[in-house]
Amino acid sequence: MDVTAWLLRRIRPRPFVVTALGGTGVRLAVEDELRRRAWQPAPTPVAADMLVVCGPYDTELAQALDRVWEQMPRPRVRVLLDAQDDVARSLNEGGAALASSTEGSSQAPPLADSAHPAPDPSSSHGGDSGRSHEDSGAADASAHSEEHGTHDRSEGASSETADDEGGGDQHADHEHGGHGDHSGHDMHGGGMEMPGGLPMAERAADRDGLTLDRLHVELGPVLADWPAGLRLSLALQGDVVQDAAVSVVGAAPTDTARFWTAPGLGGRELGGPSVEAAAALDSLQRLLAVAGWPDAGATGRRLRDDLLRHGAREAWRARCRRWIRRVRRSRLLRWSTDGLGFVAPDAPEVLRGDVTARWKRRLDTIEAAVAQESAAPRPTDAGAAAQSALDLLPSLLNGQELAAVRLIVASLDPDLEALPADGAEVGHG
Amino acid sequence: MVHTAVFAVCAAASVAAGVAVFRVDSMARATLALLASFVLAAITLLLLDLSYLGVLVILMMTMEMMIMIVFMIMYMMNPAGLMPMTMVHNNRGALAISLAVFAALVTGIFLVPWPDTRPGTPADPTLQLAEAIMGSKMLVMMVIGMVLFATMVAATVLSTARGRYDRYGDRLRRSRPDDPIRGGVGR
Amino acid sequence: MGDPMPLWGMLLLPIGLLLLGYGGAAWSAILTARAAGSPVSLAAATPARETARLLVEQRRTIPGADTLLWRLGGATVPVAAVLAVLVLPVADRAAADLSIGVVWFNAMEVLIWVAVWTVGWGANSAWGLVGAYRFLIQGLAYALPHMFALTTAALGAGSLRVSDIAQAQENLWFAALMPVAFGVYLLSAMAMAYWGPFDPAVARDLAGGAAAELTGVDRLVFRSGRYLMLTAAAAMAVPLFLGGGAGPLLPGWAWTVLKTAAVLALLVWLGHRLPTVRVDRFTEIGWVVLIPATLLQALVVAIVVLVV
Repeated sequence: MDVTAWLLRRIRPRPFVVTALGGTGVRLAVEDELRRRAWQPAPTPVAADMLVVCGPYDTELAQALDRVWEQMPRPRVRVLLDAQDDVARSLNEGGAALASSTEGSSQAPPLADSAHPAPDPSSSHGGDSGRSHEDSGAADASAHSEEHGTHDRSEGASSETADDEGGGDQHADHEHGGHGDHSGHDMHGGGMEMPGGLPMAERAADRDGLTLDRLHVELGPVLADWPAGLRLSLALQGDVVQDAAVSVVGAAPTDTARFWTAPGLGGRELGGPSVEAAAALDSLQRLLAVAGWPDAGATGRRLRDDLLRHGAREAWRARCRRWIRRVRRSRLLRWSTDGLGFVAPDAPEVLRGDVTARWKRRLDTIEAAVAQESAAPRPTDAGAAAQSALDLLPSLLNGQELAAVRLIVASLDPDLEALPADGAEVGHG
Repeated sequence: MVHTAVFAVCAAASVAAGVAVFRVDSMARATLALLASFVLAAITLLLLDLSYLGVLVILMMTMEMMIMIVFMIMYMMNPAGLMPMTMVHNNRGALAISLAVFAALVTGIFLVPWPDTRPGTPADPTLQLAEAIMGSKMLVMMVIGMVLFATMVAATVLSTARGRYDRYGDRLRRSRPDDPIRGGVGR
Repeated sequence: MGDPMPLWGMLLLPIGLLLLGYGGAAWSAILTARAAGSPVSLAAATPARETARLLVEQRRTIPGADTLLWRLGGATVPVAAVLAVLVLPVADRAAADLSIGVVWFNAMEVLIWVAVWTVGWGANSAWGLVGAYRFLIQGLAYALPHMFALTTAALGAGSLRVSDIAQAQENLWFAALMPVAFGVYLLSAMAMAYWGPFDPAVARDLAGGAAAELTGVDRLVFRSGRYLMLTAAAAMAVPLFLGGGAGPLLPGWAWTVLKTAAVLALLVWLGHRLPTVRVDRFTEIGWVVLIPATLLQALVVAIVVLVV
């Protein structure tokens, strides 16, 4: 197909960037590179054609990634990157593989270079792969499989949710983890087959005294603008959270310390306030993206990259001041985040207050670096802050709707790389 | 000639969509089939040069069906993969009622003294309709309007579990209401 | 009023809508590139390259999905946009200058409710359904103020015919006579195209919301339909509030295109400049602030019409 090849040569890849615990440094390098190439990161893997995984290999994350990979439409390419890889070269190869890929053939999707052992998706799929294969085969005989054992049909559910095989003997749909109690649905004919072979939602009382369907949705670890390694298991009624549980996916290898406190940030010489500011910029750009202000978020990313590369130069400071003023003066942003996720004053200082208070505090940190105040205003124990954020999350999220959930998580932004290595205790609410 | 053909197609399709409401096995499809039926019926109104009424039916029915769909599916939040469900109940009773209603309506068609159309349709039916409503029938229409509005407000008040004493305290002295979800005005 | 539009004009109408829509998409890409510090020179071609990408991309099939409604919903968006501009007078001629043009526009634009809801529902995804519900709630919050804004424009001209409304502004643009109605119209124009601050239905925090599961041609149709709808809403602002094709030197059609482009550029810019409005908070604004404001505006205009 000449037209297809001609079009393929003209596409600009749309990468979906996933960060594993311990992959912050790689993610920053990737985002910097994407920005200069004007490759716009996709908000969901379904909208992407390139899956970029930053950071060390982790079995649990790999399982989630395989599910996401199955859902990505072809042509597609997977790029695995770890600290020692050449980001620009790997992205080039990924883009080239995409441009030369032949859609619809039985060829395997090209797997771009990776320095560490790339897990074979079919082997890391575990016992689940056979079953999911069967399901899709029954539903659509024309689904042609490829040699990786993945198949054309998506798993049907949302791209972000990574189900933890909670579905028992039936292949659980990503969103309907549990088996339904259908006895109450008087209109259901008995013995009818499940739609698409998927289990129904179960039911439970809601806060207004009605009995409503309950969905189990997993947020993370493969989700855009989301803290690396965080997984949130939600029971939803409509878009309101009834129950939330937190877990950590993967563990940062012990030899790589938390990126933001690592000595010299990969050899770059930056003062303490500048590193704090860069970390705050990184947190804020995620929050702004979640708050539906991607432009301000993108500017935040650019300021972060410039700061990490060149330090706090005069031009940077002028630009940063303008950006801070714009964000701080946004009444609409304040109005959307006021009163959300209030944390009592006995928590670590970075977490206190509502969402607005937390993003304003991050702006203060950046402003201090812009003004070059030498005294770092608040030395914080990132590990303790992350731990108490994890403990607080379930109680903060109960009764909130999804938009508020995303804002609260983005404002707490627990840096799970900073957690003590002996395993995090996770809360349940 | 064209009018007759369009009318025949729309009438048949409207009835077919109405039948589909009870034959499909999903709430969403049933609601959208009903919407299709209403829109096709509105086109026959457009054929009578009642453009205002016709377009208004399309507009109002679209909005109403979308509201209805929310309530139909609100208690069953399984996206698309709804358990196939039958859309008919109490078949015998429903059949009797619908036949009786159909017979009554058909009798009505033949008994009502229809106006003579020989003077021709008015130049602006929308204006005529407005004058009819706002002229001699104005008092009736205003009373009906107020009653409808009062009914809506009363129904909402009665169905709300939380009243102003829950929100503002027993003496209504609270400056900020105590709500589970905060509104946008900041009261 | 006036002669009916010739056949070539009817053909030109969707093409013009498409061109202006592409302009809006390119302007949006330029704003994104400027904010991110990416090369702006590459940005104007971004929508074309994205189109190429989506054309070669695989279409998805999803188990348990209501595929018929899913695909139908996406296709409804561009169709509704083109139908909505049928009553738009370009150079004093509309493709169909209905005597109830304003109501027609409103009816076609409400079809977007059906479209977004079925796209969100059909994909069998929690993200999609939450996005779909968000759009309906937003619709309930903006629909009444929007209708009152349209009614106020019709009231000012004493006609529901769009070309009559444009002609009634020979002396004073309605944007000046009824600023509140104009403001609410711009706001609801963004809301009906789920654009900018009113995009929670397809927002990032829901991984694309109603559009979360769309790929390939389906995504292309849905996304381009959104730009068409935004363009259609911007185009309708011209005869309703901005004097139609009236203007010095240039012919009427050129003024209509210019004004449409200006409104479109403004709407796109606003979408980039503002964060998303949360639906649960906007609903109260819509009912407690916007409805009384538009009603008062209608009252003022009614008095002006009676007295002057």
